[in-house]
Amino acid sequence: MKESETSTVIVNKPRPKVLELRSVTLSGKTERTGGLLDVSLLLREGEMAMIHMERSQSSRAAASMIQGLTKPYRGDVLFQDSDWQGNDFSRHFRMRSRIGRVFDGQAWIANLNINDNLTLAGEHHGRDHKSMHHEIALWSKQFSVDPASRERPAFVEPSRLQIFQWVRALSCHPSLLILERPMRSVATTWLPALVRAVEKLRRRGTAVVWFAGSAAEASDDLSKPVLHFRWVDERLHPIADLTRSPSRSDVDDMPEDD
Amino acid sequence: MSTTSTAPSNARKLAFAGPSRVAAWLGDQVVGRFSTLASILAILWGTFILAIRPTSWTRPVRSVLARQLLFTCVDATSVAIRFGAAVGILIIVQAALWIDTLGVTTDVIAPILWKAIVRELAPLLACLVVIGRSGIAIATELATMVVGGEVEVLDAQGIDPMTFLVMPRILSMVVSVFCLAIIIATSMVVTGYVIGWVMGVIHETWMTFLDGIISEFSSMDLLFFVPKTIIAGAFAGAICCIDGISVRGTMTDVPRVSSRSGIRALTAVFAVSAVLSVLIYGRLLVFKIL
Repeated sequence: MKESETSTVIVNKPRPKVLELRSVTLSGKTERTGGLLDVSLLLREGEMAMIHMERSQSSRAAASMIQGLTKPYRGDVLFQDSDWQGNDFSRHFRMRSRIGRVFDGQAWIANLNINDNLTLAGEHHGRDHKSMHHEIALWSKQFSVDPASRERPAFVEPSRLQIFQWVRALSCHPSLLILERPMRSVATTWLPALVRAVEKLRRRGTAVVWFAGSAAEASDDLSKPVLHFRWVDERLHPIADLTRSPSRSDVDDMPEDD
Repeated sequence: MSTTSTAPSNARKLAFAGPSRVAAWLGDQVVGRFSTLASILAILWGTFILAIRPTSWTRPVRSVLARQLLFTCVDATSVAIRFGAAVGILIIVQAALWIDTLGVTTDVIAPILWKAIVRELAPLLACLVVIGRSGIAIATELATMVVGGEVEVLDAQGIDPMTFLVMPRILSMVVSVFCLAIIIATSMVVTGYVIGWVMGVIHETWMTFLDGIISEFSSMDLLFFVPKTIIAGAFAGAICCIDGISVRGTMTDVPRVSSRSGIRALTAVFAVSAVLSVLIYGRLLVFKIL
């Protein structure tokens, strides 16, 4: 009897919060920088938010704000119930080590080769050398890239470089995965592989924020719950049903990324 | 009526405008200098705290320090030897002139030259080599990383830029200035002896000459040499890192920041050297103050 009661309590318990934006306002410094106006969002373990952007928009500032690198003008950003306030920088760095990110734009340390770039964060945070390399090798195999590449990022073609970004973001056991236009420079044939990888992480409890550069990224293979938003006029407009919503046409009309 | 009442006011304004503006400018300069000094000391204190914390020394940080030492110290050895040799020749020529003019022997001149080399010339030359070769390169590299968004990438992965970028670079500058100053001093002495011996100014054997130098070496020389190299190197490193990290703007701003950083670091090295000389010798120019 007691066991069943206990199990009931566990089942009903809501999954832990991973990311919470409370009435966040972020002023965009330039026209391209995506600003936010009084935006609230809650993501629990395994949940996913896909934010559809226009081609001219940049998600870099918003993603940096989620990671506590940029302060919002107003509102709070919480990651696993911890905020980014104060001068406890060690705590902030530890929190960031649990966030995987595919960057929109510059994403590499230019004077390190690809292999060093992939292992940099893991080694710095004292992750087990063997398991880290094993995981990088597994993800690399899944995406058909060579993890032991000794080339510097400047000499690697953009599509491979982008896939290496996926590997780096996925292999750090992230509690939160931020994907900024992950399909940029990559052929759409790679989308199912990325979706499978993201789904695998979600099953482990990773929450995902996916800044989509193209409507095609809203794959049917993504398991629910997936919250779709359209980022227009500094606000996130929920898209209730992506297939039926009138805004779908707008989303469909969005130009494909380079 | 109103004209007469406002005229003295305007005159007073004019009379006071000049001095008050100068005072404001002076005040700004003083506050600015203190603010710069405070930020340098804060960076150095942060570097010290991070350096003594074992958890800071992760594999990537050790790798950065090793690479920086290779570039700043090991690769600069040949330049330091050449600089030392050139200055060694100048010194021996000067020594020969003094010997002829004053009618003294090398026994009198040698200790003075030795102290000048160890206490002043070698640390200063080592700083010049390190700033010229590596300090400006560090400022350029860090500024490029900031402008290019690489520092944000590090930050986003939970890697403290202060631990990964700044601390190993400042430490490498400190170690490099210290080591290169020893190399430069040695190069000066060896070249000085060889040239002096060839010119017939020095008649002693190398072993006798070396014994003379070793016997001249005192603990006071260490007291001058160690702080001058370490503090000057630390200041130069901190200035180059601060300038590199605090760049704002675009890639075109990087060269301007780099060249300014080199000048600032050189100025700081001369200032630190002067202040340390005053503190250690207890003299300001020829006047005894301490």
